[in-house]
Amino acid sequence: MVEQLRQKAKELLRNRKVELIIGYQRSNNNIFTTPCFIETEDEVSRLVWDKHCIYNLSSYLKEIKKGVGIVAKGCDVKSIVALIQENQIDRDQVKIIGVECQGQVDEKGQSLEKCQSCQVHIPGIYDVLIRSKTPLSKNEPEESAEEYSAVEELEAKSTPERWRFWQQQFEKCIRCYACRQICPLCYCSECITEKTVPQWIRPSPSLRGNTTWNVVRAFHLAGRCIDCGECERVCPVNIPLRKLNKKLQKEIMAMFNYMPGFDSKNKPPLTDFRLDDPEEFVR
Amino acid sequence: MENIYLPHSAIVQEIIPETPDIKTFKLTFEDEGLQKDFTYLPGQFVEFSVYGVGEAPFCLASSPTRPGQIECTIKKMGKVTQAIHDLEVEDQVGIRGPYGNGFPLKELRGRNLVLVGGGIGLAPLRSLIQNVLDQKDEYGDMVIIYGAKSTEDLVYQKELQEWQNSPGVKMVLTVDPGGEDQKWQGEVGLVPTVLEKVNPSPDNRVLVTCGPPIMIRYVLLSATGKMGYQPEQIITTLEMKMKCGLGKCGRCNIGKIYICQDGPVFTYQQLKDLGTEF
Amino acid sequence: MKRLVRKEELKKMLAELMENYDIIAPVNKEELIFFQPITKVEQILWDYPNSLKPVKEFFLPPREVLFQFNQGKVQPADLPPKKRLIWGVRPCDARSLLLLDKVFLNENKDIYYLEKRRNTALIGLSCNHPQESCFCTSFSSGPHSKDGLDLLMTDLGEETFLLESNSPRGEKLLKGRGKEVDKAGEEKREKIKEKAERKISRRLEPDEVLEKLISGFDNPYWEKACRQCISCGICRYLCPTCHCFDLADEDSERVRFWDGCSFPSFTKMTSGENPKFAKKERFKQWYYHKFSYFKQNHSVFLCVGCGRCLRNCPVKIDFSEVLEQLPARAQTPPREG
Repeated sequence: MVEQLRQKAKELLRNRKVELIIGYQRSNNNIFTTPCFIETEDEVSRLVWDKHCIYNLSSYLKEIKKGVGIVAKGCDVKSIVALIQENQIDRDQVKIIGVECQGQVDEKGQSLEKCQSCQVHIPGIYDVLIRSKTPLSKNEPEESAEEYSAVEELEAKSTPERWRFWQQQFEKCIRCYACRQICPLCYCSECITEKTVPQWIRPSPSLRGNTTWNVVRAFHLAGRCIDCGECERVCPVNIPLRKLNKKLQKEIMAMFNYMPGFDSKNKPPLTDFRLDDPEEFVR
Repeated sequence: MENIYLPHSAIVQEIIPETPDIKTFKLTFEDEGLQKDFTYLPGQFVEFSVYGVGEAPFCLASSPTRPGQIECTIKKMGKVTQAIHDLEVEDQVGIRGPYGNGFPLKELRGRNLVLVGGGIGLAPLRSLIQNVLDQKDEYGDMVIIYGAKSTEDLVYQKELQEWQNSPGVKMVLTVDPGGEDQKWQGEVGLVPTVLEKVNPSPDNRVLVTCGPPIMIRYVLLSATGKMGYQPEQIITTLEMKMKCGLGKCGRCNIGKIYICQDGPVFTYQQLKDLGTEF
Repeated sequence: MKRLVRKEELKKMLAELMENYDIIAPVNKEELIFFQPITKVEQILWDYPNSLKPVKEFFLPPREVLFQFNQGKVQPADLPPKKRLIWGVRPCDARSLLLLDKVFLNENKDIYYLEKRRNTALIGLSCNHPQESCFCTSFSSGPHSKDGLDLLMTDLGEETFLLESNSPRGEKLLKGRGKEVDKAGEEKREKIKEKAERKISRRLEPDEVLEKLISGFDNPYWEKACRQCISCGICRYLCPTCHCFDLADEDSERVRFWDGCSFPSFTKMTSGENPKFAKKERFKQWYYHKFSYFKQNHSVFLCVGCGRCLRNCPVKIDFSEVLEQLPARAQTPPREG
């Protein structure tokens, strides 16, 4: 697959379809990867592809919006779709080099939780597809009902228990904003935390400010988050952010029967309305 | 030991509206001993606290030659300045300072001056102007070129008259093209243009300028270009985001210097020496 | 003073000290290692790769109340009355405090920081197994350095530790404990130390770096080098020597909290102007502050080689690589106008 990837990348650069390709390169320790940016054909040999390519490179599309090629797994492509939905990038300015992914592993070699319920081994959209020579083993992706098992575990707890759980988690937050910076969909040029008139969220890492920050971010992602899981991966204090985001994903699914990241012509439900939207809360 | 972060209490004595969004605040320290001993150089700044809202740096617009109170001229722009504009006489605020290096009065003594100000940039220059007028014999003549977007944006309108009438002072006022009202008698044109027109000779003269960055840029170009000033003859005061005022919070640096400690006053030569880091 | 002390006796010593000191030690909390106040000696980790957050958090807390205002009166926050003891500090973290002293204990002394420094005893633990990401030896230090510590413990194996005092406070703590160090003990310690030092493979030449930085400010290299960075604050916050902060009023308190030069709004003024808006400038600022400006102002580099930045960067930027690859003595284009 790597050879194919490099070949295609070379072609894209040679034919001037793109000026820059964002992909994965081997990191110093020879096992993991790190994002790489290549501009010339002789650099394509830096590109690699394996189960250590965990980054969602589409977050760089927040800054680089034109003439760019991007190596993207199925989950990454979902956030590219989301960016297109929200008019952050033009479909024809990005060449998606889709890669067939059989699952990624974390630094300890353990399979990522999100990969266990993945339904997009082959990306939904792409300009070029790099397929694996060995066909995917017939591992049926788990029922989507099971995808929410972690959320349901929390939902089963009482409200005070749940509150305590989250307070314990948010106490750890140091407001490094890595979750925001790595998220492809957190692209506000002035984040709500930076506003001082009025000041919605206290900038210092008090429990109150941390709670507001994390909850507000989750709400701002409701109906948009495609669960790439990067926020949870980068959090230095291991706050289980995916649980928060998935809970909102579940609510949105129940209310609007909508799953983000698949159809670029859709609008996220909280940015749009339909006459048949649920209205039980209106009395 | 002194707590360097603790502001001293001060009371608002008088509020003078200068323009629709600029006010001058006259303050005295609650502690009379402190008020008596409080001394500073023109060009220095203080950290002004509205308790419960925040703290922000402002230069001292008053001169140390007129003790008994301090003055700050403040434009309403954000959270803290909005709260400052909502203050009333007798309200309590906090003042920390003075910080910064101030204008190099020793080097200015015996020389002629041209002060070029734009908008609220006249505030630190006012401190210098008052200081010079109070110690007339120690300085040469003074040319003041001051401009704002429009007639209603000029600050210190009463004092401008007073300065105009002082011996040894030549005052040229200007507003941006389109900013003049029917009664306007002064120049019309951008400050750097008017500066070139007035063209005070660089002989034994120091040029001090303060105002919006773009104005300063063109003033520097004109002065070192057509007007023949050397970079060491030009002084400006820089504006950066500052918080602690003490060189500790790390945000106001240009290269290895901190604006709150080694500045905000610099000669153009010093800025050039900073290289591309400026 | 040097003594050989058995682990059992160390545990007893800790239990005794708990009466007079708040003991802060490394604990394992859900797979992450934090320094925390402990109530039971059993909670302590006796060997661990370095903690997530550096020890600076006990001297320059992530959030600290400086003073409160109440009906026109300004009340400085109470300074901690009980003495503290941080157990198991790694030499790199201890050295970082000496560097922070240069900022917070200069002519304008920060009393909050000062009181905490005065009130806190530091008992270090030598690193016998440095990590691949460690490079403390590049800064005239090492995995067994005593700099900044009151007392240093070295695990000699077989439940025995060699303790060395490095200050009057350390000596007082050590007096009467364990037994004299014999020749065998000394030799064992030397061997462990050498082995640890040899294990450190990562190396930076700070003086070369300084030169490259000064000449390379405008080098186009930085445009490419900064691309991976996502502008979060992890490297700044987890760095033991980064100390930038912000001040704000919350309710009736003035608080000081960590801030970082990586954030776009760090230098943004209310007028909207932002001199360091470009990612490239913010990216450079970190390297320049640590390896150029601080060195020029204080004659020492603002880095202790702990490697937290490398280990925790979300996109695995290798900071020593970035400096390594900066071209030497580049041709700086002449500054225009």
